[in-house]
Amino acid sequence: MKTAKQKLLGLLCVLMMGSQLSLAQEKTYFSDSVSFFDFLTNQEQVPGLGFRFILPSDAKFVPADTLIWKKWESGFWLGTALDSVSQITQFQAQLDSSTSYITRFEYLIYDKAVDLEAASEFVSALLRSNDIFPLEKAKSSSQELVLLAQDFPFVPGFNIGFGYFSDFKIFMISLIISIFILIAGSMIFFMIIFKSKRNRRELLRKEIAKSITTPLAEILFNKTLAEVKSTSDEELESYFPRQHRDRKLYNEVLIENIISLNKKMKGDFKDKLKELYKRLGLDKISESKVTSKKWDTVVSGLVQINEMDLEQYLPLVKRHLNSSNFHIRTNAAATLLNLSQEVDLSFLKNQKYPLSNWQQMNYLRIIKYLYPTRKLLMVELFDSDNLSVRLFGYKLVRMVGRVDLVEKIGLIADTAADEEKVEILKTIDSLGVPGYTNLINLSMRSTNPKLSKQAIKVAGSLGDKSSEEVILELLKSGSNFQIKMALMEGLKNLNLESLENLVVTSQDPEEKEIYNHLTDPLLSHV
Amino acid sequence: MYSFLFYLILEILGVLFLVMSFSIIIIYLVIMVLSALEMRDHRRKNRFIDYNDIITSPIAPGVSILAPAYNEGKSIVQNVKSLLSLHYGRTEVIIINDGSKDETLDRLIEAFDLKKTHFAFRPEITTKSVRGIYKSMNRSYSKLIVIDKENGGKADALNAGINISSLEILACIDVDCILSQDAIARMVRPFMEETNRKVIAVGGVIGIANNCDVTDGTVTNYRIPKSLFGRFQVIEYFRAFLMGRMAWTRINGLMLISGAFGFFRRELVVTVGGYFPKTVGEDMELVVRMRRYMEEKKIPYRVSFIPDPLCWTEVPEDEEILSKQRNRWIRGSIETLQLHQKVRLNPSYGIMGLVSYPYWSLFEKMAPVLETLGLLYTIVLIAIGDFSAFYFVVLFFVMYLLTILVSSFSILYEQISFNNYKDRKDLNRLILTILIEPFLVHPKIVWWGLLGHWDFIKGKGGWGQMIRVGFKKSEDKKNLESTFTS
Repeated sequence: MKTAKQKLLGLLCVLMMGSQLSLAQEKTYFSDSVSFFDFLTNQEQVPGLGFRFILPSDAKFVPADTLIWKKWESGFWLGTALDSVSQITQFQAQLDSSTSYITRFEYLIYDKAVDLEAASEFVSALLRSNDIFPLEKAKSSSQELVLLAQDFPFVPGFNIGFGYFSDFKIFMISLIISIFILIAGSMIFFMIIFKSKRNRRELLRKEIAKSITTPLAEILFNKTLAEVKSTSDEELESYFPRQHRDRKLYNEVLIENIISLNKKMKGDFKDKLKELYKRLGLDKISESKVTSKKWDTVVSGLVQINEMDLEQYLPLVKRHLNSSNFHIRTNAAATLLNLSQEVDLSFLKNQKYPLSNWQQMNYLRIIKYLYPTRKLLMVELFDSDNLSVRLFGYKLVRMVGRVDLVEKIGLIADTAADEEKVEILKTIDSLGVPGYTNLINLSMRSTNPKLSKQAIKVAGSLGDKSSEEVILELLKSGSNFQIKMALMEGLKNLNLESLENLVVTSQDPEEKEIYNHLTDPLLSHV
Repeated sequence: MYSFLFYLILEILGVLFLVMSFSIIIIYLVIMVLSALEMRDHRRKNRFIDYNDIITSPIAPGVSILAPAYNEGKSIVQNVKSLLSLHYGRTEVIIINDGSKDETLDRLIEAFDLKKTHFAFRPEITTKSVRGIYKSMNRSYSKLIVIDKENGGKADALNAGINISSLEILACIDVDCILSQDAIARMVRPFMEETNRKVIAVGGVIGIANNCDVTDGTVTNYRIPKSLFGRFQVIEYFRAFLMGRMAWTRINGLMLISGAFGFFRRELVVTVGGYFPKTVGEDMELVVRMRRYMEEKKIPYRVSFIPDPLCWTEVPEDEEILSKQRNRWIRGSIETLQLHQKVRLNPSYGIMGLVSYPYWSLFEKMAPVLETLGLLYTIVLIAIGDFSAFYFVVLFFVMYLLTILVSSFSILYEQISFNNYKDRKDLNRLILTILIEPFLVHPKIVWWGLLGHWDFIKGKGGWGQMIRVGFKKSEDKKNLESTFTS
């Protein structure tokens, strides 16, 4: 990870600085020694740059000259260091007049001898870093200007024309600022537009709602169902003009209002509303919604089909029963349950996804509502491969009071998982079906605390003498506090006298404490 | 040589600050987009939901409402009545009197006809000693349980409540919070909707009740607070709750659920050992520990968030109280991140390890330090004459613009989603606050954050050595002594 971070940092550094540096390093100021010396001549002096003459080892001097010339280890005579071009010229003139030796010349950078290339690079570096600036030539004619221009290396045109972009840092900052302002600005702009559109939409909705209230009331209260059915298209148009009905928002408001009235009304009024819904072609809108690609539109269509009892679209609804979208499959199942002739839950058997409590709650509400008038087919739930579906089946047995199915789930309990046993025991307890002492007693001994506690609870209401013995035995075996409390509560419900005897003879302070809790009237309804 | 090093460091710092600044910009843009998507989905889902079903359904989980109270004598009775009137079927309201020095307990006993019971229990989480458990003799208050215990702080009080609670979901709230009538039904929904991934906790939005009208336990008329600090917190809460937490929820990276209003699965809270009382950031620490547990056990899970306005509280408008609160918050963050340093950039902890934790470390915990360093850096540049006014002005402008944009976006966001603040004058005042906040309030927030860091270094409040070492496993909190002595 560290390496990656370092790489990233390195990359960013290169991005920010590298380009500029690499461009700078490529820039050369002097094409040859002549241009370099010309520059020096014009400049006269360059800080840090010196010059020196060298004479061969056999050179002879008058004694005074030894102050200027020093014998070096290699045998050569080294002249004194000079720091300006005028000194060079002067020195050279003196040399020419006084000696016939062949002289050599070398550059010094901070007193260290270097060759021409190094000296030229040194001066170039000073120019690049703006530590020195080229002095303007005293005289300049148009011809000289051209010559002067030739001294400067070629720099591509875009460096001048697009100078702004050549500074990478500024470019990056500008780019990010622009992107940021663009995105953030667009989002805010979009939201402002959205808000104002929504406000306008809300106003329009109110107006539409107002305009359809009267015709709806007229149809509902002044016409019979037969009259609604036989209403001509022209008359219908006088209530709800065609040009309005071509508008999406108008239809939306119309659908919402009809559904809202349908929820509140009963009997004949409901039938009239449904008829009107179909006559106005709103069912076609609901149908098209169910085939939409947007999940919320599909759900909206399903809700409309459900509310308006549009049974003819059940095949469409069934397509969504195993949808990967939670809301779609929940509403599809709810619609199917509501609109089918019988409450057939077999479709849940093959449900791929776990059944959430939310779905169970919805289905239970519908089932409870329909069960008194329609046949409830739910046995298949117990055979589902989906654990959550089986658990729902057991819950359903107790919640709709299907005592006839207890025997079946009692048989399942022998081989069921602990989680299922808990639910089955709850159902047996809730319906008060006796005859499951074996299951209860075995479950009480379970090492699964949830199952054990549930069985102990059921034993309190449905257990017998054998259950009491199991409870006493478990109490003697020393359980943890939670289980002990459950056991004593179970015993209290099963045989209070037995509990009292236990506490009287017990040496365990915990048991006394629990007994006090169980017999405290204030805690009886916790 | 030294001069070269100095300039190199300055250059590197410059690049780092630049990268940081742009990272913030990009992160905020991503947050804006993610939160907008999450809010859109939430609103779409809400269109098809009838919460009345939950209230009475036998399938809906039971909820234990835990509300610690310390010296709340003046308002406790009204607050408890409000909690008892919430619309939800299976609930118990557990008030934990955390060793109040005022008349909190006496008022409760008197108002609700309470009597000490023989309530037997063995604490699953270690807490300070419980002096008594009270129940009402009036059957109308049968849902109410009052625990009287020695003072041990909020986390300890909540742990005592968890020990007594008996229902599946824990609703941990501040006793002085105002809850909407359907708050529980709405908050319970994510738990009920879970299919493949276990919902371990659900957070909710905290609204600011200062200067608002409250009728029957619900805010009926929204008005922004009068003080600058109050108004600043309104915007800050919009940013934090409507944008930040919604965005984190979108990627299942939420690490913080407000201690004032959070719902948790009891079984898991007990399994991980409850709240950690030795940190001032107990709310964040619990969420992180629960998430760690799920990651370590490789159980698919989700931390959910409901953006509906369901809970309101009074925020501090006094500078001294606010400074203490911010100091506490930053220390809480540092302590939590320190306790769970094993999570840092650890791919085994998924989004939390690779995204949430680094984000919190860099942009929340270290924010005051980095901002101060940035300021010092600028001063150094000015002092050595290497200061680029251009870059400074541009970066400053960008950051200022960013603050304004993000804050404006959050206000707009609230307006589109809930539209609670309807008075145009209020909106204008909020916009003005946005413009001046970076100059008048933010420097103070940074300063208080720095003081929080300093207090942490000094070892104030926390459990020094233990917090520095951190939890090796999420379950370590249960065996604190053995973990840190071994």
